[in-house]
Amino acid sequence: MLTRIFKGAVGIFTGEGRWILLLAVAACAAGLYAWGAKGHAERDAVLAWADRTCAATGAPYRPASAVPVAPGAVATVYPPGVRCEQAVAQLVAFRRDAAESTAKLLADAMAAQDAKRARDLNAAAAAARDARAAATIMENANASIGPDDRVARDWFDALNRAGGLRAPAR
Amino acid sequence: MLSTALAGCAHLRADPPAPAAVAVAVKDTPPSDLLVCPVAPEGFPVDAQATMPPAVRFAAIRLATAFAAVRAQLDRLIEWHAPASCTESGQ
Repeated sequence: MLTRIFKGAVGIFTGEGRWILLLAVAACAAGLYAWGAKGHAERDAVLAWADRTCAATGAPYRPASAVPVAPGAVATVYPPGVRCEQAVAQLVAFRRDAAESTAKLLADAMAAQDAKRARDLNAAAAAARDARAAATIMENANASIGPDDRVARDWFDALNRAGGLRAPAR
Repeated sequence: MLSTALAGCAHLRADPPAPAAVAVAVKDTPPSDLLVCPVAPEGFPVDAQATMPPAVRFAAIRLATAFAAVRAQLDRLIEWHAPASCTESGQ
């Protein structure tokens, strides 16, 4: 029994069946080739994308082989993608920092604006209060002027106050 | 310079520094001479006497009131830009 199976198996390699085997191997090879070709195409597409993307950051995905700056010197060659990754990280950090400091600046400016507004409101209220008080005194002083239209100390005092003028030097 | 002169230093190529994000607030401050607080002029002599018809008195009062109002407004405007610059002088 075992012998017959063995003979049958060997027959595949030796007998008429070898064409079938050849066909199977060829089909496998064709499949693998197609698979590999697809993989190559995908890899090329990804590499092209990486080249384009990294070129935009200013650090090529595959840096040109570095030329030694002096004869015999060791040139630094970065593996593909290392400089690009650094550049991307720097750009991301730059954007984050810029947005952060801008937001802080705007918040500070708004707080300062609020403080200014509150201060000005106080100043305006105080000025209005002073003006009202001075106007009242002025009215009273003006009302106390007799029909002879003589004005004296009280009236001039009230006028100086209404105008916010300094007391005159003696 | 060193890397061109000494071969051993050639591989110590410095990486370009990372760009630093800087946000600068733009201040639009008026010229300093516009931020000088006005000084009140000397007023009328209080020991004087005069005869003034009502029209003249009211004109004088209007002038004084308008001056005080303009001055208060200018003080507020100046303090908007330079806080507490007019209150210290007590004017």
